[in-house]
Amino acid sequence: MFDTLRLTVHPVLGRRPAIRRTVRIMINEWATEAFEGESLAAALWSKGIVALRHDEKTMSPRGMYCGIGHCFECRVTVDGVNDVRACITPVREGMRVTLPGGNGAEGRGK
Amino acid sequence: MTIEKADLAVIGAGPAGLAAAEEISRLGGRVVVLDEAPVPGGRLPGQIHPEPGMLAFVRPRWSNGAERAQVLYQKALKAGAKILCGLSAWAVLPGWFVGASQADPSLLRRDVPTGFEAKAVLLATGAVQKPLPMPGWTLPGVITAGAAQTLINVHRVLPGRRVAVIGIEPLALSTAHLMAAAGIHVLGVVLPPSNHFIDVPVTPKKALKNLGVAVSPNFFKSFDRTEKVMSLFSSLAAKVYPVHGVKFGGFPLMPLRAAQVIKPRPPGKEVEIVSLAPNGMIRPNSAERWQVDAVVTSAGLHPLVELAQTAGCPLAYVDDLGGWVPVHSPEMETPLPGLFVAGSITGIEGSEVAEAQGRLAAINIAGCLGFLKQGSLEYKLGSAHKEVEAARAQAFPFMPRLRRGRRILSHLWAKHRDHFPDLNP
Repeated sequence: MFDTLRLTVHPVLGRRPAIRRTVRIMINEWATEAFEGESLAAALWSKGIVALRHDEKTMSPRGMYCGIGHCFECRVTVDGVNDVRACITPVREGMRVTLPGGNGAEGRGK
Repeated sequence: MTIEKADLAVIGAGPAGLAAAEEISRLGGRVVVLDEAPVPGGRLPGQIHPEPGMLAFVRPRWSNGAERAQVLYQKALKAGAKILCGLSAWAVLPGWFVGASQADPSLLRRDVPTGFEAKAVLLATGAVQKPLPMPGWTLPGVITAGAAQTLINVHRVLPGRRVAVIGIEPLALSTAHLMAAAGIHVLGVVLPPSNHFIDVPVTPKKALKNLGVAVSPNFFKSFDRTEKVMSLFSSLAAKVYPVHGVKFGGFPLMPLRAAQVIKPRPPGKEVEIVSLAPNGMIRPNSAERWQVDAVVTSAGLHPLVELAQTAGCPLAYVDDLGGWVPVHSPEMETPLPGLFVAGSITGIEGSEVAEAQGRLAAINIAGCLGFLKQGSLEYKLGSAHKEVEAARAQAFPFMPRLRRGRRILSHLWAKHRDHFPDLNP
């Protein structure tokens, strides 16, 4: 899996395990992979996707902010269910994520 | 709809909650712990960073919270506690009832309880980062220091290749240090703009003073004297400190510069930086623009008290502890019989103190539920108190005037006993 923002050697934890299981996920029309157990927000971030929704009032783009499920800024639609907090939701096999346009996922993997 | 029964419901599977769950389970109590995060440990798994302190940049001591989280989790499990992750508590009602729902509503599961009936509840919800509102703070790619730690330490994902850090306080500095060690180009750690919503230092003098006090509390015999010395020191330091910063731990610390605006500039963001005079005045024509992938902001932490509010627990605003905290006794009980608190919900402190507070709360709870006899209860409470004090003496003082805050709260507790006699039969 080639994601530009993956850290190969952690300053304390060292190299990541050589074999890490992956799951297949769908980001809009893009079929891609993520590491098992990681949060959806982290998986998207590693692929350069940080804009996750539009503010309902101002339509300005929003993404992860607090990272612990408190601020509700990272809400996405998963398997047709709205308001899933990407920062505390682990990726799972076959997960379908729907993101609004202009997030960097368009035209990927085609 | 299934409602489960337990002796104690613990909310939050961080160091305080896990330690308390282990103690009560070991004494034979039925304990259920819930946490909305997918894995146990609270903030511990994200806490792999150099310990803040005087030698942080010379000889850093790295803490490994992930390891500690595993130890605490395994011990609690072994003692017999039931630990449910991915479950959000949405209300705590006297009686006691804890309403819960799946943190991930897209997950179709039928085996998840919707609530818990318990004889006692321990709130160990911890703390959350204070927001740092400034122009552009809602842009995607602007995250808190805590979120950056989780990305790097838990998921091994870099927030970006080029990052600016806004906010000068201990959490911002240890995150900047971690990012530099992970190979990220940290352009600088700068002050936030001056506005009505931000309560971290916004002037060079105040930032330098707070940093000096934080790394050497009581260094000059007493806290008040340390503050006075650092006040004089910071006036001088703000005059001689280089505007372009000094490099510590691989990143430039720039208390004489402040971010003003964050703007989108594809593929990343642009941060407008100005230079400041020691008193915080913006120097004319000093604006500069930094092109970055991500911005990490930090304004410190505040206790997470919403569930105490839903329970009707009286709160008090104690600045020295980080903001609103539930009124509670030194033994971690609140004015509501059967409701206890432990960890950073009682005031911002490190994980070692939280763990010790969890054990102290557990002993008090065990006494209330009849798992400990009077004689051994008093002895055990005494030694648990000493453990909290010992942990506190070792810990980094996130809130420099913490001890004063704790004293204020003890007074409030004594007052509450008289004001709400009906709450204390």
